[in-house]
Parts: sequence; structure tokens; C-alpha cells
Amino acid sequence: MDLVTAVSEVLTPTILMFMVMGVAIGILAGSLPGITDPMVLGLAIPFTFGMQPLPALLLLLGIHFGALYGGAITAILVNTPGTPASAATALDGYPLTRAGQPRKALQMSVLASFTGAIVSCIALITLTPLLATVALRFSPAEYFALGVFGLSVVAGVAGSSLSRGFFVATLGVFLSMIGTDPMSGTERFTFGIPQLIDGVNLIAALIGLFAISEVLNQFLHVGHSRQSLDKLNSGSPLNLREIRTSGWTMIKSGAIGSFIGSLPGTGAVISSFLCYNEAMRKSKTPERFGKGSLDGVAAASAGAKGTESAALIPLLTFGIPGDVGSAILLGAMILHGVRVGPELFMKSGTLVASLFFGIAILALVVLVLGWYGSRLFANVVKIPPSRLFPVILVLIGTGTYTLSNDMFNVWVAAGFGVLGFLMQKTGFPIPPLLLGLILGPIIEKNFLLAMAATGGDLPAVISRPLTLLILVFSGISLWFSVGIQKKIQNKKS
Amino acid sequence: MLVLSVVLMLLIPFQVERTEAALTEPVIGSRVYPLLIVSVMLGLSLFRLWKVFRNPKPMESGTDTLSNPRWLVGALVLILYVCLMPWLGFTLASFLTMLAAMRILGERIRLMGVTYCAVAVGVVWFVFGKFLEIPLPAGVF
Repeated sequence: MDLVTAVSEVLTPTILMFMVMGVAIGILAGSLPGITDPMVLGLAIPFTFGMQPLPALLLLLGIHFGALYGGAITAILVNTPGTPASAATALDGYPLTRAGQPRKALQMSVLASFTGAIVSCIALITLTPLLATVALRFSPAEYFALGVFGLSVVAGVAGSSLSRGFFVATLGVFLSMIGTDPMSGTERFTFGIPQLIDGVNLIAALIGLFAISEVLNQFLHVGHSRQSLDKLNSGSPLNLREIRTSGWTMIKSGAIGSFIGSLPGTGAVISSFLCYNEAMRKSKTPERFGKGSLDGVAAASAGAKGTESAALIPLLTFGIPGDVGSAILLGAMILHGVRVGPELFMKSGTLVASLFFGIAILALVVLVLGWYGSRLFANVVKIPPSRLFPVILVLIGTGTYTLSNDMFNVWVAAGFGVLGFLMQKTGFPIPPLLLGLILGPIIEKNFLLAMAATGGDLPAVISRPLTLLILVFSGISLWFSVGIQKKIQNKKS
Repeated sequence: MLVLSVVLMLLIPFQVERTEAALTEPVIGSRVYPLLIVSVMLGLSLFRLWKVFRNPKPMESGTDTLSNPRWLVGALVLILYVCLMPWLGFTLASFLTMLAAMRILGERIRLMGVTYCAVAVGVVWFVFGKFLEIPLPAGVF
């Protein structure tokens, strides 16, 4: 591959313009609740029909990368994650906003996103063959274990009561069962409602749990919000000491995200929560997590962004998409005549090199737009809640309606919203429910496939070396997390 | 927690058809996994109950706010919005909901507020309905 040609192909005004445009559209889309990354990617593909493969793919990658960061903006400012992956960012980002530091939280998020993206890009370029080989060796048993590993993160986001956290996570797994059995095809808990055959829409549930519950919360705080808004205006920028303190967390989370991202079927949500949990476990001040820790924002953001380029590893090398975003990108590549797999590296080396270089440039574009645009985005919280939340209510209604162009998902979001609000007020944490909803199908499908492959021999499923290793890591992670919770409780008392 | 777990357990025979999946036969039927999950929920509920009996703690402070009827008003606005949207159409239902929500949240509705609602609904309608070409509810009138 000709590196000079690859670099010169990317550094043309037209391609740079498409990249900036893609990132800007992505940030805007990601920050709007209800507008999802896959939705915008899908809508953008027809616009690229007349383009050459490189600008088309970089435009789509720009939207994809921008949306992942954009989701963090509303997560931090109004506790409404624009994407499921930014739910972990809201855990500390929103408390920072409420404490009058939205600017700091946004800058930390974009800086961590950049670090995660660069680490991920390095992984994509250098570790492609190694990580893809490991990922390919994974069978359903390993994916089942990985899902269980993801659930062990619940301990880190359960709040004051671990048993409540696990109960809520199990409830999430239960809710993820609604719909069609992946093995037998029988209907479960659909109550004869045809819209439930495909299961509970994750985005509708996410919008309900995080956005509607917050809107309902606002109705309780009439007259109190103006005071907190005054504080928001005095937010200071991120300083060098804070960047240095969270530096290692960003790099480590980026590396974890890269590993998770390279495993098909996992993605940014698991990674962001895992990295958040890991940062809390290693923190000298774990009690600050969930109350406005910059380290928490850094870990969640870098963990989420760390997955994005790494998800392209199995896609480019073996044609296996790592997540929904890469699956849509695969469709775009096929449309543009780009054949993924080992052949791509042999026949289109320059295109691959241009893509790799373009991905690094995209990380820089997200950093520049996010960093300098963060004050502009922060203006959203200057709008009084009495004006902001009615608009969010309308966006929720519109966004959930457009998921399937019927009212059913709006009702689902409303139901989850009331559930989330009641859970908040009765001391049940919301994030474990989301984790259960996301991980439930992964755990179930792979557990059943692994059991079928071994003729129902559970010991044979869990005694596979890699499976056992992941399960042991889950146990260790859980043990550490429980230790942290006890430490926090002791400090409180 | 316990009541919910028991209710879900009782629902399984009615909501999950008993079959032996082709791939898993005769090892795992369609009710095994739901039963497993609900059993975990039941176990966690019993554990929680045992913990509460062993070490009773005062109720969480957040529950006090549930007695504040304002959140019910908010929930009612939300439900009315969802109910009205198919009848009045997206624009009118959203406009009325915004006005109601703004008023409840303490905003005085004057010309500025009405204009703000109209502009906000117009922007959302343009982005979704025109720019993204997603059909929004038109209403029955």
C-alpha cells in the first residue's frame, strides 16, 4: 500500500469537508434524544450513492463517530443519553452539571473520547490480526460468559443496595425475554400484542428510563431549578491537573474499549460500563463516583469511544460487524463495491490505508468540534427547565414515534418512564435495568446455543478454558465491586 | 420485589407455550430459561426480605417526594400527549402539551411563550417530517 497516496487522498478539501460535515451531523443527531446513530446512518446511505467509496465511507464514519460523542452531550447536560453507550457518561456527567460544572464535564468527555478513539485507532492499525484471531475463536459459550461478565458490572452501578441492583438487572433480563424465543420461536409474555413479538424496543425503553423519568422529576422541582442554573453559568474549564489525574484512566479505558469493541456482539454499552466500573474500582475516591467524578466521565467516554474503530477490526478483516453501526457500514461498503475480508487488504491496500488515516483525522475533528463547540452546546442548559423540558417531552414523543412509525413505542417509553421514576424514588437504581435489557438477549441466545452444542451438559459449557477464564474474571470483578460498595458504605457511616 | 417475582412466576405457564426447541431437544424447553430468570428474581427478593427483617432501616428519603402530586400531574400530561397525538396530529398535540407543561413548570404563558412553543414544534416537525422525511401523525381532523 502506498502511504503517501493514502494520506494525500484524505487531505483534499472535498474529503475534509465531508468529514467535518459528517461529524457535525453526527454530534447534532447524537445529542437529540430519539435520533439514533443507526437511524441517521441508514438515512445518510442514499445520499452517498453518487460518491466515490472513500468520501462516502468517511462521511458515514464521521456521522457514526460524531453521534457517539453527541450522545454524551445530552447525557451530561440533561441526563438524557442520546445513545445507549452514553448512559454510563450520565452517571457522573449529569451530577457535574447539577454541581455547576457542565463545561468541565463536556471537555473531559471530548478529551477522553479523543484518547479512546486514538487508542482504538492504534489497535485497529497494529493489532488487527491478533485481536481478530482471538475473537474468531470465541464460541457461544464464551459469548455467554462475556454477557455474564457484563452483568457483574451491575455491582458498580447498583448504588447503595447490591441486592436491589441485581434484582433490577434480573428484571431487565426478564424484560428482554418479552417477544419470540430465539430457539423455539414461541411467543413469550406478549399478552397477544403483535408489536411485542419483536420484543421491547431498547431505544424506547432507554428514552423512557432516562428521559421521561427526568421530565417527571422536573415536575417535582418547580422553582428550584433556576438556582442551579445560576451555578451552571459559572462553570470553569478543565485544567491541566485534572487532565493529568484522569490521563491514565482515559488510556486504560481506551484500551479496554478497543478489546471489547473488537469482539463482535459486544459494543460501546458494555465497554462504557465496564470501564466505569474499573475506574471506580481503582479510584482512591470511589465514593465520588455517581456524584460528579471527572474520572467517571473520562472512563465512560473513553471506554465507549474505544470500541468504535476496534469494531471495524472483525468487519474489515473477516466481514463480521462488531455492532449495529458497523453492520450498517458493511451494507454501505457492499453498495460501494468494497469487498471486506482478507481480499480487501490485498487488492485495496491504499483504500484501507486511507480509511485508517481518515479515522485518525475523524478523531481529531470530533475533538476540535467537541472542545470548541462544548460552550455552544452548554447553552442548552441555560434555557430554563420550564422551557427546556417541554421541548424534550415533544422530542421524546416524536423520537419514539419514529422508531417504528406507530404509537406503540411511545407507550413503551411512557411506561418505562413512569417505572424509572418510581424506581428512582424508591431507591432502585435504573442503570442495572438497562444493562439487563441489553445483555439479556446475548446471555440467553449464547447460553442456549452452548447448551445445545454440548447436549445440555452445563459443566462442559463452563469448563471451556476461555469461558472459565472470563467467568473467573467476572467473579473477581464482582468481588472487587462488592468490596468497593462496602468501602463506600463504611465511609458514609 | 417478592410480589412481582411471584406474579411473573405465575405468568409463565400462561404466557410461555411449552415446547421443546428443535435445536435443544430434549435438553431445554421454552419455559426453562424464563423459569431460571424468575427463580433468580425470587431468590433475590427473599434475600432482600431476610435482610430487611434482620436489620430494619427507615424508608428511603426519596419516597417522601412520591406524596407530592406534581409528578402525577406530569405523568398525566405525558399520557394525555400520547393519547391526543393520533387524534389531534403531531403539531397540535405537541403545541398544546408544550403549553401545558410550560405552565405547570412555572412559566407564565404570554405571547413569547406561545411563540416559543410554536417555533419549537415547527423546528421538530421540519427536522423529522420534512428533512428526515419521517411521516408524523396527521390526526383525524
